[in-house]
Amino acid sequence: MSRTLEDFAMLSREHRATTRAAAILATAALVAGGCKSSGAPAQGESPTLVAYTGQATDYQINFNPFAPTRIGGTGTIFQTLFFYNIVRNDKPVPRLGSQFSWNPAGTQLSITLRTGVTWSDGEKFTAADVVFTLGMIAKNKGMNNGGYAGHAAAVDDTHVTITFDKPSFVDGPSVLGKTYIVPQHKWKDIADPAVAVVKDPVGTGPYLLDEFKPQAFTLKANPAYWGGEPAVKKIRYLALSGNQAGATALKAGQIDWQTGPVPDLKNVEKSYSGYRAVVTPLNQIVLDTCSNAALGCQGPQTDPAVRQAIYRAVDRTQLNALAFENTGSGISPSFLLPGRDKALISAGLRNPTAPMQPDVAEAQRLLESAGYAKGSDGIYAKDGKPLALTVKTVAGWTDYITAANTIGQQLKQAGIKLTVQQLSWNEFVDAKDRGSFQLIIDSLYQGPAPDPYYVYNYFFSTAQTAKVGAKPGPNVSRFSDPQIDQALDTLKHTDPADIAARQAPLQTIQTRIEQAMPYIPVLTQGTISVYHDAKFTGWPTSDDLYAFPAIWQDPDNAEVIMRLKPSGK
Amino acid sequence: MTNLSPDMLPAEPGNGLRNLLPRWSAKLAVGSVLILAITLFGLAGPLLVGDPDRIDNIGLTAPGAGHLLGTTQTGQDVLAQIAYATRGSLYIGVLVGVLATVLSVLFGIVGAYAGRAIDETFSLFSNVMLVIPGLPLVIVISAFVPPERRGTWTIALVLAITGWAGSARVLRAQTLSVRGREYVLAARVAGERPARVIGVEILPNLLPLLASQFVFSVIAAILAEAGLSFLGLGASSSSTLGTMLYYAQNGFALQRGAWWWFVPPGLIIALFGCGLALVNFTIDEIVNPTLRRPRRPIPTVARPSTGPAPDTGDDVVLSLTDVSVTYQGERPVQAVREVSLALRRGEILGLAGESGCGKTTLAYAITRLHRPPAQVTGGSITFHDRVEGTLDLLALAPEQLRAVRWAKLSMVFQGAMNALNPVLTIRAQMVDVLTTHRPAMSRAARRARCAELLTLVGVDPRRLLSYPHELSGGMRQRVMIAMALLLDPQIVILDEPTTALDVLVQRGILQEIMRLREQLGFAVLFITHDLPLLLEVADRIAVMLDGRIVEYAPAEEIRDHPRQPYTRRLLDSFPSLTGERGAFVRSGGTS
Amino acid sequence: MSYYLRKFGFYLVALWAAVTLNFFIPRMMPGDPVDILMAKLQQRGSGVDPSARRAYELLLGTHTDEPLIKQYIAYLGNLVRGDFGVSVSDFPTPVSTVIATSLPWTVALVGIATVLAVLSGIVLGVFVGWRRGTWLDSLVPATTVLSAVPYFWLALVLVAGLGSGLGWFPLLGGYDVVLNPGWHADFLGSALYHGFLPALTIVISSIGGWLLGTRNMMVSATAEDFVLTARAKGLRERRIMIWYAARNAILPSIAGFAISLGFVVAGSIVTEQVFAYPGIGSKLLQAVQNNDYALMQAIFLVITVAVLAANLAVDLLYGIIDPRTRTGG
Repeated sequence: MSRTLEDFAMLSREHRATTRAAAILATAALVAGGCKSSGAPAQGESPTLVAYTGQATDYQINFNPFAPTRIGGTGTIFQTLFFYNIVRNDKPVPRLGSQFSWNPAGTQLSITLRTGVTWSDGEKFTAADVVFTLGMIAKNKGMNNGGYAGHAAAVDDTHVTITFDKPSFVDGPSVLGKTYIVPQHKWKDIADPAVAVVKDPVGTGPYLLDEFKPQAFTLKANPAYWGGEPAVKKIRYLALSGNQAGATALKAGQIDWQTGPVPDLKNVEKSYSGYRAVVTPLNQIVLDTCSNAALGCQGPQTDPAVRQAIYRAVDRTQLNALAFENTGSGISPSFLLPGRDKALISAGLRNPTAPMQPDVAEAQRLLESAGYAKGSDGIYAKDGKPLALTVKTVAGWTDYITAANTIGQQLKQAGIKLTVQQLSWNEFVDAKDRGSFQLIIDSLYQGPAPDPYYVYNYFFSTAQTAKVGAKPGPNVSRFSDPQIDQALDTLKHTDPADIAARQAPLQTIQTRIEQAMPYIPVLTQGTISVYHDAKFTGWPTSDDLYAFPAIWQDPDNAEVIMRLKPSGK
Repeated sequence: MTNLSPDMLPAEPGNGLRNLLPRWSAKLAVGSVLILAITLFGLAGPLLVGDPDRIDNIGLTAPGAGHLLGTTQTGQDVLAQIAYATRGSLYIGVLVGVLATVLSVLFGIVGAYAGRAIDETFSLFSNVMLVIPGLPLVIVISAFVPPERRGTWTIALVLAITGWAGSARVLRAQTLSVRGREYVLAARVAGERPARVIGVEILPNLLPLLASQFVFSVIAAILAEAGLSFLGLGASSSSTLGTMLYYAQNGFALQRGAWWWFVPPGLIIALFGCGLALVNFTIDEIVNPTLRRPRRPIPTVARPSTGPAPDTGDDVVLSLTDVSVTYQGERPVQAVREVSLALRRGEILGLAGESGCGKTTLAYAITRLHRPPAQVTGGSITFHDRVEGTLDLLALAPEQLRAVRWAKLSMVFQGAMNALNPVLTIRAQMVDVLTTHRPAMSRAARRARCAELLTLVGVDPRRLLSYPHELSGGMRQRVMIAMALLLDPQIVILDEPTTALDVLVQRGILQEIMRLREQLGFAVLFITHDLPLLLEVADRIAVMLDGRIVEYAPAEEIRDHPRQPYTRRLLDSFPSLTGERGAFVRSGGTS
Repeated sequence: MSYYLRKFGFYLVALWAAVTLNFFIPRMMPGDPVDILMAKLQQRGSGVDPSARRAYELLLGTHTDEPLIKQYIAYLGNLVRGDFGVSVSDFPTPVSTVIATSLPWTVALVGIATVLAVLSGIVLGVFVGWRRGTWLDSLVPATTVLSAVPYFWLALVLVAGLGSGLGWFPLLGGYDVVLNPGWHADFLGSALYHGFLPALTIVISSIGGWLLGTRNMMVSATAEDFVLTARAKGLRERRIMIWYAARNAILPSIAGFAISLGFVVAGSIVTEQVFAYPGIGSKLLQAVQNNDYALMQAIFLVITVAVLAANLAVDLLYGIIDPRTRTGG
């Protein structure tokens, strides 16, 4: 070594001292600089709406409205023909379509399109685009979630006719309300449209893609939108790390719209000043059961008496208070929404709505008449096997995890042992697909229109299920009842406007599912949306639910955004 | 002087247990109380609290009547949950601790004992496992285990497998050191079976270390398990402090400000770890006694000096008058009793005596290098400077003393093995003397001076760039001498300068010293047990016994007419080359 | 020289061991990860791409009769090329890209925090060990308590206190998402600001170990002969403390760096989760939660390589600062 260690060290010691001082000063300066609140626009600039959809991983860019990996743009960039509001019995609102009608047989649907609409790249929107989109869906099974089986043809630039082989009234809402129209001139050359990655979307909607980063992407208002440029000029969607991060960001005032559990909900207006919350009952929380031994299900839950006992033993009031902050509401064993569908609930049901108080005595009576006897540890048993069940939940679904644990404690009072298992999302989906579960805490979702047919078709029809080991449709309980299948068939062929004709099949379905109870009703979930009322006005409220106010519901979220205005404060 | 490094245990064959018991101290008290309290809480708590799983409509409530630590989101009693969770965490912690310790004993102790190939392999394996990051590995393994199979024992096994390597390395190092000790070799030669040798001779000496490593494993296991559970990857059926924190996060405890839910679990882990760490401190102090905290600081000078001795005018450069040095403690020991000496300019004064008579203590005390519990309890030490006049060394302020040291009075220590700083070059260690005492010297001048002095003592100046470990013993001693002469001191104290060297080198060094003394004119205080040697080199000799000077006379007088019987025995004790052996009995007392 | 060669050799062996461990773990576990991954891919819309399947099989094990050694060699080949397949949780990004974008964040956070902790711990340990019997001694038990505190709990408390309580620091993310990543002051400033709390958590938790170790070594070093010599030489206190005592005392601490880095890496994974910090630790958790085995394996390897590299660097540094290791060793 030419330099001595001492020399080297002396030098670096001085060097170290000065660099350390410099670093401290630099950090202090940067910290002071960073203390400015970020994201606050300059005076006169329109405020950005910051939304959090619950995205817990980084965004991967894809604005293909058909791809399972899409991250947004449905409703904001791309539009449907009509908008169906599922929370109220409203008439469909015209979007790209201005009116539609069915022939009496339900085999032909005629649609009139809106005129004067252009794509965001300047091309005119015509019937050819609609026909192309529908044709593409018909050809690609991966895109055809709604089961569309029609043939579309353009009568002229503004009229489209779709013909079906069979009466297809119930398929209408999915075609009219959930199909996003894409431009033929941009999509005709895409090789695999079901999964293609679309980085620069061209749509007819009120917004355009502004910029994309994995942690957030931004949409900006479309000045050439046919409905007029929207008042909210920019929307930013954030990716955080989960519910907790969302709540923290909300508290810091960094998010303007979030849908999901929020701590201390009843004091929202106090603890998050300027914010309001709206709770909308829509999805129905149930315990999925693998109920059909004939299709391969195994376990005590295949016995309807056990399912009924669980139904009786749950203390819904307590569950609502402890796990859902009282945002839940009553649920009907008919799975009709007690609000929207009140008129349809059959008088023949034993409980029009599930009892909010538990009836442990009744539960125990049911078990005992099914051959169970109480053991010395307080748990029922039959043939030497204790009545022990597992319920699967998804890690990260905080409210469902708490609910499952609470239900477990409640069932223990009645003598049923429940173990909660937390799974990753993939394992969860896998369990449902294979039928390798006993109970799962889950929710039943609504269809594309405010019509109970969809819930029944998705979750109770034999066509939507499969035996254990094979992949089913939404009917994961493996429930199969020929009478219900027949009633569903009748409903499919009946014009939804004909209330009288629908009454009998609906009644059959309701009474039979209350007896069988393949999905044990728990509560109707109140979807909690918290929004920054002081910054933007025009939000849907409980009195005026013009759309389902969930940030993740397409295209309702676009409906909300289009009606918002900066409050100017 | 011996130095107990952490690598060396005061090990005795199989009987060191008394040495291994801890001394009482505040740290041990607090640590033990914490550990006992929390362990008791974990063991007995669940028997006293209510049902941790019972839900209640009251929901999330702050601490108050009925629920000392409040309730969770579902109305469960936090105190009850903590008791059960503590038990769960302790159970896993101890389980993993035991498993990990067994593994580390196997790979560390047994491996090191077996030696050669097995040791190399085990050691390599331990080091590799040590270096591979633990938690990511645990996460990956846990992720592959399906949730139904993720039981307490599986998790414990995974944690143990990833946690034993650190302990193994430490135990191996210690075993290697103990293995070479005489009593172990004796046992092996006597034919004892390896298992018995390990069990009886080696393990007891490693007990404190083993205890410390076990403790460390337990803390690490509790922390790792808490982290795993917090991430949702822990044992599915168990309830530990980590699981509690997981549910607290799940229930938005942080956002709701429910401090009573998320603070106590972490606090318990922290306090438990703290308790274990404090106990570990105490174990450390057994292994390394220098860590023990001094009871109260003992000043090095007990009472003001009796004043400098007047300049008697007959060229005395250092006068010691009635100097006493005591080792304070429960039973104070007087190492130096009223010693009076006078060192004249340019003379060689020999100080002779057997080991333990206090001569080194006296030498250190001269420039106040002695450390507590040694204390100068009487007398005065006066330096008669050529330039500055009389200096009362015991009364000097620290900064003045520092300036005097080495510049006026330097020392060459006994056994230069460790007297040189191993991480600095020779030049650096010599130059820093010059930069401190002669700041005005230029760099070139400093280097020249160092080279000059090395040449003077017979060492090649190219050795300036070497490190101490690159030099032989003799060379190191010469370097020490060169260093001592850097500032042209008036006195050089030599403490057994040649004892650790072989005879021929001894001769060479002594000749150098004599020559340098002739050349530079400094006085020498030559401390040694080798009285015959002093007869050859010293002008006057003082014989020390039990802290007192028993004979003090010119060298010829001592050689020809030793007055004290002790002196005579000292003279006779050394073997001569002709084969006559003296019969020296180490009694140090009356003959 | 032989010291350096030996160290290099050791780390090569360790790397080989980690790579092989990575190869065997999924093959020893129950279940069929490849099928799960392929099903995931299909859900995401990717076809049954044979090269994707092959990449997964090599990583996770195939149930065909292909000899293990052949799989192993092909696996090593894929590793060298950096081909880990496609990430399922971040579909359709390839795993190597996911890692490349998140690794710098963690390296910056952990690197800076570790350097700070080491420097502060050593400096404080030197002072505490040198001056015994003063108030500084109380630092030792205080920081030891902090070392026993679980990282994530400390993170939660800091978030509650400094973050939402006082509002001094942001609680989430690596930077303000309004800004674009790049080498300019805005972004760097925002990154530093966001990284402060996570770094503080790591520093507070790990400083205790360094302080204690250094202090113990200082106490031993202070009792050594060469320190006595230094005193006798009349050197100033400061010089003795630094050049004689501390310079020797820190050697064993640096030798123990490996253990402490392991803890820091572990702690950073959990800390990133609490702070939603976009580093590789949160990606690992995301991979675990989504059964993204390929990403998981790759991250484990990358973390291991990073730790091994850091340890190698420190060992080489040790070779420089302790002259005794360089000759013969």
